[in-house]
This record gives sequence, C-alpha cells and structure tokens, in this order.
Amino acid sequence: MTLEIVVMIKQVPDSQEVVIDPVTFTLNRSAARNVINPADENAIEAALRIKDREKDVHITVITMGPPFAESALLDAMARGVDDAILVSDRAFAGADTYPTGLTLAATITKMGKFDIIFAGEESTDSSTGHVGPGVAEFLGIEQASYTSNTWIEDGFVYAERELEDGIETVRMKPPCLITVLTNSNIPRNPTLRMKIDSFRKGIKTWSLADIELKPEWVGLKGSPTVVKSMRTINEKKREGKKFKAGEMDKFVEELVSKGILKL
Amino acid sequence: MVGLVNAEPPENPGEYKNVLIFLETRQGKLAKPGLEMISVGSAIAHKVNEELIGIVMGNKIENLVQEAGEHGCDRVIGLKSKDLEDFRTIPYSVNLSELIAEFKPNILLIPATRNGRDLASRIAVRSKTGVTADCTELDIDPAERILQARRPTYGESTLAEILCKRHRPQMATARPGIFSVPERDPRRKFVSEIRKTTIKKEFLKKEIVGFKPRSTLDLTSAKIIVSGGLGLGKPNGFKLLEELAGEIGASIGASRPTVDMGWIERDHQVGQTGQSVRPDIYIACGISGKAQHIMGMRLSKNIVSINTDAGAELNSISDYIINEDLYKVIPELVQAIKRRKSGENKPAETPA
Amino acid sequence: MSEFDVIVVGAGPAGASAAIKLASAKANVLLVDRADPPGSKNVSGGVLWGDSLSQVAPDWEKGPVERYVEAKGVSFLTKDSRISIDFRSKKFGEYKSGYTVLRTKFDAWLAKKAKDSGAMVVSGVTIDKLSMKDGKAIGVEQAGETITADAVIIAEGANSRVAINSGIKKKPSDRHIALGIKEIIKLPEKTITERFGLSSAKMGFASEYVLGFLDGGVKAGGFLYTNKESVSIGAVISMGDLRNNNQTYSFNIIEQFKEHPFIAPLLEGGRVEEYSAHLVPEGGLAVNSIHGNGYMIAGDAAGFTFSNGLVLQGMNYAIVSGIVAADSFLQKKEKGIGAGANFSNYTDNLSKTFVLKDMKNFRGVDAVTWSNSIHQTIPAIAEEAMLNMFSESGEPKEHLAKILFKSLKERKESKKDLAMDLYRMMRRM
Ligand SMILES: Cc1cc2nc3c(=O)[nH]c(=O)nc-3n(C[C@H](O)[C@H](O)[C@H](O)COP(=O)(O)OP(=O)(O)OC[C@H]3O[C@@H](n4cnc5c(N)ncnc54)[C@H](O)[C@@H]3O)c2cc1C
Ligand SMILES: Cc1cc2nc3c(=O)[nH]c(=O)nc-3n(C[C@H](O)[C@H](O)[C@H](O)COP(=O)(O)OP(=O)(O)OC[C@H]3O[C@@H](n4cnc5c(N)ncnc54)[C@H](O)[C@@H]3O)c2cc1C
Ligand SMILES: Nc1ncnc2c1ncn2[C@@H]1O[C@H](COP(=O)(O)O)[C@@H](O)[C@H]1O
Repeated sequence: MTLEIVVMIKQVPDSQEVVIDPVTFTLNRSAARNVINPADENAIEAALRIKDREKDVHITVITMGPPFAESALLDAMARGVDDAILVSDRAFAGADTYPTGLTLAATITKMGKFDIIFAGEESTDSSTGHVGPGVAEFLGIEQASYTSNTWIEDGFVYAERELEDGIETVRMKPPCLITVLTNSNIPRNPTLRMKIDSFRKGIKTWSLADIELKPEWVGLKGSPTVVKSMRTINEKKREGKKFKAGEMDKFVEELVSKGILKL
Repeated sequence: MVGLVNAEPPENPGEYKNVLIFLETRQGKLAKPGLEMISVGSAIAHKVNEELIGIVMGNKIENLVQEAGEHGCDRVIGLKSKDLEDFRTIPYSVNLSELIAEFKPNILLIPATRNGRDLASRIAVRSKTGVTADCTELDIDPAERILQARRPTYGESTLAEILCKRHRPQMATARPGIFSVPERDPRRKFVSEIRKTTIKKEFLKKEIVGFKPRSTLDLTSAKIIVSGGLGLGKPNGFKLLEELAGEIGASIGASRPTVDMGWIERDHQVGQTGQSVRPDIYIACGISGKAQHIMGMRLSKNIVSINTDAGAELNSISDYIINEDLYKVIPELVQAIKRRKSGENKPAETPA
Repeated sequence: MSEFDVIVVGAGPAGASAAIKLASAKANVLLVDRADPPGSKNVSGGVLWGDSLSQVAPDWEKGPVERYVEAKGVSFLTKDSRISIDFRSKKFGEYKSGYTVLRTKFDAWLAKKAKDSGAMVVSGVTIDKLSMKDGKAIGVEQAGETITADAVIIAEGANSRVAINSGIKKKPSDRHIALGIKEIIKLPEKTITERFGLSSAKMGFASEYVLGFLDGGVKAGGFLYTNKESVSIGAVISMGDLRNNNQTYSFNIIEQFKEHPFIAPLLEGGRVEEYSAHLVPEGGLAVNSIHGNGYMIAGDAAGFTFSNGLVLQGMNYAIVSGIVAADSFLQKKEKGIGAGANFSNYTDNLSKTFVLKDMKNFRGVDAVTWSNSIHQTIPAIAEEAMLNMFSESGEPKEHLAKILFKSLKERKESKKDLAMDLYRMMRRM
C-alpha cells in the first residue's frame, strides 16, 4: 500500500535578504524576495529521503497562503514531490496559529489517507513552532517535534529529537506528525527537467468551500489572539569604538579601566 | 482529539482564576526554564490577588513538589505515574488538559523550551484557546485580568503585545533565560498535593527507545562569553577561542551553523533557538549578526565584534569593533591580556 | 520533435524581449534564468535609451520606469574641479531620450510579460551549456540532462558560462571586460527633483563622469542617474587596472567618487540601500559569429554594449538583438526549417539595425575610452586652461591655444600618444 506523506510548507520573506536598518533597527523587507521557509525545505528533504529508500511513497506538499505562494509549491515539486495543493481564500487572511492549524488539518482530512505529516520546526516570520503540533492535535495523532533524522523500520516511524539535554529516539506507528529542524539535512536542488515537469503538472488550488470549514472559524475571525500594539525595541546606544589588531594593549587597558573586564 | 472545530471562548470567562505554570523536568530534576516561570507567574498572580499553581509531572516527584513550593508556588500539584517519568506529548497533554478543566486557570504559562513548545501547541488546541509564543515580557491588566504577552518579532526589532481577550486560559510560552529563578526558601508556606494516576494504554503509543544525554552548559548566568561563528572557518577554530576564554574566565558561545556543522556541542548555541544570554561582555568572533543570533545576545552589557567585514550586522550593535581577521586579532589579544596581567604594559608612570 | 521551439537562456532585456516576441507569435518557448525571481541579480546604472521596447511591450512607458531623462550631463572630474556639459533640451520632448529604470523591478516586469504572453518562465536554474549533436545545437544541458529545442537564444549577459562551455566564445581577457559597480542611494522624491533642477517628479537627470582623480591613477568612468526616490551612482572600472593595482578595491573607488567635492552635496542625507557589481563587456563584438547551427547570441553575451565615456548603453542593444533573434527564428519556422537551422539570417537582419552598425562604426572605441588621454591628460589640461581663463591673476590674459599648448608641453606624457588618442577619438566616437 502506498505510503502517503504530506509536507506542510510556508512561503516567507527571505531572511538572508531582510536587512536590519542599523539606525532604526527595523527590518527593510522591501527588497526581500519570497522563499520556502528554511525549516520546511529540510522537511521536504526529510520526506524525499524516505521516498528515496522506500517503495511506493507518494508525497504531497500543502500550503495555506496567497496565490503567489504557488511558486513555493512548484519549487517543492521540482525537487521530487508528487503533488501540491494551495489552500487559498480571502477568508484565511490574518490567521494566528489556531485557525492555521485547523485549516491545514481540514485540508489533510479532505485529502484522504495520510501516514506521515512533515512540518518545519518553525517559520522565520511568525516563529512559533505551534502550527505543526497543533495540526497533530486536531487530527488526534502522535508527534515528534524538533527532529534531525527520520526513518522507517518494520512499519514503525523512528525519529531523533534534539533536546536541550540530549538526543531522544522515539518510535511510533503511523499516522504521525514530525517537525524538522532547520539545517538538519542538505536540501537537494531542483533541476530544469524537474522544474519543467512540475510546471506542466501544475498545482491544485482549494478554497474554503473545498475544505468545508465555516468562514468564521478561519482567518482573522477565527483567531483567539490579537496583536494589540507594536513598539520598536529601543536599543541601548552603542558606540562601536574601533580598534586595530595592533592595538590590543590599548584595547585591554580600555576594558580594564572601565571596569568591563577584571583581570 | 478535539476534531476540526474552532477556538471557542467560554461562556463565563470570569470563572477562570489563578495562574497555572508547567514545571518542566529533565532527567528527574526540575529544569531551570520551568523554575523561571515562578517569578513571572507569581508576580502576575499576586498583582490580582490570585494564586500561583505549579504543576509537576513525573514518577519520583515528592522532592520536586517540595522544591517548587520552596521556590515560590502558592500551590503545587504533583501528578505521579511511572508512565509520566519521561516527557511524552500525549500523556502529558491529556493530563495537563484535565487539570485545566478542573482548575480553570485564567492564565497558563509554559517555558518555551523544545518540550515546552511541543506541549503548549497541543494544549492550546485542546483548550480551544490562543497561545503567544516565546514571550520576553509578561504582565497583566489588573482591571480586566487580561494577560499582556509581549514577544519580539521581525528579527527582534519590535516588541508585539498580543492579547487573548475572550478565550481561556490565556496561554503564553516564555523564552528561557529572560526571567529569574526566585531564591529557594525552606520556610516558605505552600499547599501541595500529590496525585497518583494511571495513563490509558492508547495514550502510550509513542515509545522512547533511546536517549543520548549530552553535557549541558548554562550560558545564561555566564559573566563573560567568547562566542564563535562561521568566520572561524574550521572546527578547531574553537581551540583558539578556548585559549582566550581561559585567560579571562569566559564561557564559550557559538552561532547555530557552527553547531549544526558539529564544530561544537549544541549547548553552546546562542540565539533564538539556543540560549538567551546577557553577560557583562560578549566577544563575538566571526559572527555576522543575523537576527536569530542577535536575539540571544543583544542584552549583553558590552558587545565586542571581531569581524573582517566592516558591514557585518553585528557591528551596528557593538560597543567595540575590531575589523580584522580573528586569527590575527585573538592571538594579539591573548598576548595583550597576558602582558597586562604580568604588569608589563601598565600605563607608564609619568616621571616626577 | 523537440520539446520546445526555442529555449532562451537568460531573462535580462535581451532574453525577455526575445521570449515575449516568440510567445506572442504562439511559439512554444522556455525562458530560463539562473536568478530567482528572474533578473534579481541584474545590475545596471539604469537609463534605457530609445523606444525599442515598444515593439514587444507597447505599454512599457507606463510600466516599471522611474524618470524621463530631460537633462543629460557629461563631466570630467579632477581632484579639485569639475568641467561639465549640462545639456537640457526642449527637444527631448519630441525625440525619445530615455527613462531611468531599476533593474530588479524592470526585469521582473519583463519576465512577467513573457509569462503572460505564454512563455514558460523558469527561474533559479543555471544552464550549463548547449547540447550539441552533429555540430548542431539541439537544446541545452543542465545537471546532465538535455532539454531539446529547435533553437537556443543565448542571452546570458557578459558572464558567458553557456557560450564558453559550449566552445563558441573564449574566456574574455581583462581587456574585454570592465567591472561595473553600483549603489542605490535613497533620497526623498522632492529632494531629487529640487537638487537636480528638474521640472517635475517625473523628470530625471543622467550624467556620466570621467574620474580623473582616483588613487593610483586607476581609470574609471562614473555615472549618476536619478530614479523616483533614489539615485543610482556607480562606476565602470578597467579590469586590467584593478588587477595591476591590488591596493584598490572596487568599493574604494565608488567611495572616492561619492566623496568628491562636487558629488557629495548631491547625495547628502541619502542612505545606501543596495550595492551590486557586474561585468560589462568592452571592445565590441565578443564572438566570431553571433549565429550558428541551432543557436543565436544576443545582448551582452554577444558584446553588444556601447560606452564611450559619454553614454553607457547596452539595454537598448540587448532588446533589439533579442527581438531580431526571435524574428529570425520565426522567419525560418515559416519556411518550415526545423531543428538546428543555421541562423545566418539573424546576422543579416541585425546588420540592418543600429546594433551591428554601431558595433562596426565604433570598433576600437575602447582604446580611447580607457586611454590615459581621456582619464588624465585631457582633464588636467582642461582644468588648467579653465583656471587660467576664469581666475583673475592680475596678469594679462593669454590665448586659449597658447594656454593649451603650454600645459601640454609641461606634461610628461608622450605627445604622440595624445595625438593618436585625439585622432582615434575623432574617428571613433
Ligand atoms: C528557524 C531558525 C532559527 C535559527 N536560530 C539561530 C540561533 O539560535 N542562533 C544562531 O546563531 N543562528 C540561528 N539561526 C541561523 C541564523 O539565521 C544565521 O544563519 C547564523 O546566525 C549565522 O551564523 P554566523 O554568523 O556564524 O555565520 P555567517 O553569517 O556566515 O557569518 C560569518 C561571519 O564571519 C566573518 N568572518 C569570516 N572570516 C573571518 C575571519 N577570518 N575573521 C573574522 N571574521 C571573519 C564574516 O565576515 C561573517 O560576518 C537560525 C535560523 C533559522 C532559520
Ligand atoms: C554598472 C552598469 C551600468 C550600466 N548602465 C547602463 C545604462 O545606463 N543604460 C544601458 O542601456 N545599459 C547599461 N548597462 C549595460 C546593460 O546593463 C547591459 O548591456 C544589459 O543588461 C544587457 O542585457 P542582456 O539581456 O544581454 O544581459 P543581462 O541583463 O546581463 O541578463 C542576462 C541574464 O541571464 C541570466 N543568466 C546568466 N547566465 C545564465 C545561465 N547559465 N543560465 C541561466 N540564466 C543565466 C542572468 O541571471 C541574467 O538575468 C550598464 C551595465 C552596468 C554593469
Ligand atoms: N500557512 C501555512 N501553510 C502550511 N504550513 C504552515 C503554515 N504556517 C506554518 N506552517 C507549518 O508549520 C511550521 C511551523 O510554523 P510556525 O508555527 O508559524 O512557526 C512551519 O515550518 C510549516 O511547516
């Protein structure tokens, strides 16, 4: 029987290109392009590695996002993912983690049978890490978060979780959800051949009606939390005093005389 | 399993009272990030004349319950079972949810550690409520008893205040290393209760089949940190940093990619997904200063950046900048410190 | 049967124009760019001269353009002085001059146009080389796989990986390549309009500079163009000079230019928003032939740029050559000539346009552009002459010819060289 894998990915502004203004310490996002959330690239790769090793694996990537998130899905397909679904509807806008998880869980339910769901550890733009495990709760399945390695053996899913005090290996029966650490593997590059094929194949787009949730359950309306205010974090003024490698005596003297360093 | 349903506010939110905190355990001990919830949790609870209730789960938890009380919980509930010895998502979330249903807390705080976030995500959905992740400031509006959860966003540039007005409990996870652990006081009064419980088999389907412990290093209380990034160029670059650290009694920090590449153990990592540190002096060697790193060290009292790139982001938040090859700078710095210690380079006395 | 009618390598102005033209004619075309989104790594000072783009995108002037150039300058800068021509003309309204553009925006707009016209646009993939069979290009190769097409249009810009790997172009020598560097400096729209004396926020200023004052005598030309809310400032530096003078980093040159006493005030209060560097082909045609069996070369890849110190142009050549390449393919297709055709008609068709005519007429202009005369001797003489003429020293005035002759005599450069350069300049510029 086919092993059905779902990978949840999100398109985010490229944080490598998001520059912090040294004066106001705010982000200049204008120049940033959109990319697949870094951890989700690792999640896609983790899924592909299972497909590389096991027979009869089918991978679908899904995202809840605006129409232009299509490019992230095409990129994923060009790496070897079989199918892609964009869940897109005006009603989804402004969702916090609860309705995001609900929408994704409803999408996965609608898709039919699933065995393993992969997500990233967290997204670079909202960085909560709550969406993945939230989906597992909606679906009532086991989960392993913060993993660096996943494999299948004797019908069990094994995963290594990297915790603060050590590495834990867990074993579960599918269906289950796995969240994958950033940089835990090296994602493969899409080739031109695969890109062309994925363009030809195209993605599916689903709307709210397709996943049968009530409009007031999703998006901003369905979100328990609200952002009340944003304020710039006032940086301590730092002088940025320059020293040369040849002036280390002077530098040490400065630190010692100001009481910063005690020798 | 809640099924595919929306987040629903309770009919009578006024019923929800007190602050509940989850005291995380690691290898049979209370972990520091959990204890940190006591100071912030009790401040919030006491501001509105409510109780701080600590939850401890595990197998041999008698001492831990005592310890939690002596650190400042008004009430401690211990949940005892062999099956709760190690953290596992489902048994922990099912049991914590039951306690939430029983105690109806207004606020629930969980440390934003890996297991803490794992648990919080599921509890929020089970309780059909919202959760604010990774907070660095927590307060309460005394009139409405609304939790003011503040978390850095946009690469630490802004602090967003997030409210959960209608749903209960109001949940937040709090970033480790930000709040202090209150002093332990054996004379402190508190109520405690240990409940034995059995966990249904269906909740125990995930097995922990192995655990490789690794050393843990608490950078959050270090006074001096010498930290290395990809600019070290090679794994044994950390040897050079150790030499410098040895001279000034510093701990070693690291940026995440150096950890990911296996140059150094994970417990040295500073940043959003590592530790949040605030030493007197943070010496960054070959670290560019990407937002996720800055998050973990920007509160340092003094920051030194050693980087060949004059435009490195970290320079803009540094007190001292040495814009040269770290392999040239650090040996010079070590020598200068040695000279200074031996009194060689004391500023020359002006002859009378 | 090939998978595509045409594969276009590179979505700069050359490739995108070709793809739009082809797709609009219902050809099955694949446009590939290594950057994602397409063009996001492209650099150019940014005046698109002329109206050639209207052939494929009639609405381009309403597209991603910044300001219409109503004032054009050319200056020689010495350490202390500026000698310039500031040309403004009402006639710029009647004739087309140019629009300043920001390439990331502009290229993205063009790529979208190609997509909307029906081309398959793939970004983030670098083509390795042409796929050859029996001396004919049958498509392109990437990651060891071949994608077939009846024709390939190589529009990959100056850094010609595909052409070099396919053995149809030699690695350019330093003499044939210059380094272009550019910064975009953010300034308020109103400040720009006022500071450059422009008649409205839609109007712009564009100027080239000969930087005769750089440390170490490095030769470089500068440029400064106004966008809506920023100015583009940059320099094109002789690669040979850069290599011989390893003290001088490229960013150092742009710094010296920005700090020049007659440039700094124009940038005051601005904030650097973007920094980029790119190669510029020099010295005309970069390949022996711009066509072959199954392929054509367009834009910078073929060496179609023109710079003489007064203007730096390439985008207009790129656009026209891209369109002509597309037309040449359609011409063959109409005649039913299939895969691997010899596209000699491309060379013929392009000869009739200003692209190849300019290339022919101005061959060798680089020898002048990069001469000591242009960069040092002439500015120095002119400075001396101007000082002599316009400063009141209490001495009786001399004739201009005499002043020039005198300062020329005092200089140590060979007069023969200067004479040669002046001769070349007259013939070639
Ligand atoms: C979800 C997520 C979470 C993350 N969490 C963290 C985190 O907790 N902590 C963290 O650090 N990162 C984290 N990151 C990664 C972060 O985005 C950056 O990639 C990382 O901080 C960069 O590390 P670096 O500064 O060592 O490397 P680089 O950015 O590559 O910088 C290396 C620097 O060294 C300088 N250099 C090179 N050679 C020399 C030399 N000889 N002498 C002196 N200087 C030299 C260079 O100029 C450069 O500035 C996270 C990323 C994601 C997506
Ligand atoms: C600093 C500077 C200032 C300039 N100022 C002006 C000006 O004011 N006016 C003007 O008209 N011209 C100017 N030019 C020249 C102008 O930029 C070029 O002539 C023009 O961009 C050429 O267009 P093109 O389409 O041939 O190549 P490019 O614009 O270089 O486009 C080539 C494209 O091919 C892609 N590519 C390259 N290799 C591959 C590969 N192997 N596989 C897939 N894709 C590939 C690249 O990503 C790029 O998008 C300037 C140039 C520079 C550097
Ligand atoms: N809109 C979304 N669509 C699909 N997956 C998502 C979405 N938002 C978050 N995720 C997944 O959840 C993970 C954690 O995201 P977050 O909780 O936002 O930090 C991401 O790495 C993705 O795998």
